[in-house]
Amino acid sequence: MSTDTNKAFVEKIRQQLEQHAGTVDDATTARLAAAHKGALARQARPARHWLPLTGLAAAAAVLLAVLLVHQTPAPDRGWDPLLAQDDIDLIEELDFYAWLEATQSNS
Amino acid sequence: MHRLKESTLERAHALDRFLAGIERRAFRMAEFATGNRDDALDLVQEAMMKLATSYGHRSEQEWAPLFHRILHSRINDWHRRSRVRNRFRAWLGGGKHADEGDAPVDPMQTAVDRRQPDSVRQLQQADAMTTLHAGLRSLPLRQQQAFLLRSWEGLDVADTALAMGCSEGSVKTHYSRAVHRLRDLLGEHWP
Repeated sequence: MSTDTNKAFVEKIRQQLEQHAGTVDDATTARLAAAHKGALARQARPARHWLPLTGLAAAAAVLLAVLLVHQTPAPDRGWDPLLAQDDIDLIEELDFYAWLEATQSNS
Repeated sequence: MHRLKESTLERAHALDRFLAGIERRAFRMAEFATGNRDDALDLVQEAMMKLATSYGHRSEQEWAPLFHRILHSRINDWHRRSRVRNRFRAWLGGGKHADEGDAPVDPMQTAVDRRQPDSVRQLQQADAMTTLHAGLRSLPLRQQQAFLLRSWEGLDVADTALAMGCSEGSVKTHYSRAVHRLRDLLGEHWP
């Protein structure tokens, strides 16, 4: 089979296919147009590579907030019972310390 | 800033023109490959999306081979999935192919449309297309792809190889076999 014959044969097929492509029904044409527009809209949209990172940061912040809120309050060290006990003893024996001081100064 | 915006707009217009020019042929190619209109539409839609989002920034000369690379890769995946599905169905259905049901043929499908003008030329064209359609559908997938990309899409051997993900030698072999097979199927005097 000569190359020219093959070329003519292929050209016939190409023409037939072109005609066939031109006979796409209206519903299909509409869906193709919608797909086409959707693709263009997607291209126009800025890249959202930062989106997962933002989500991760937000999740970390929420977790931190929850931990802070539920953290058990530290015991109030403003009144230490052991130290307070010393103070009470001192008050109770105040008379003794006063007598001791008076005795020492007299002698 | 203004120049950048203008350039982005120009690119969007260029992509718009490219997709408008290719969409019908792409749809028909996917339809030849799958034999299913809805699946063909889905595959073309996916290919358009992928091209726009991942390769829209590439040079316009690269778009055609890249688009077909995406589309034909999707078509190959579709065939793999179909094979698995059909095997599974055959196994479940006791060896009977799922598509080979005994459903009666809808007479509306075979009825002659009498609204069409009875032009011999139109009938011949419809006949030629039916024969061509059957011929193309009967080709092995790789031969079909090589033939359509080379002869219809007009890609050269290198771009066809890129689109098909194979060597240039394979493209030549597939194409040559496809032409011979179609000659055998369609006959010397087609259409």
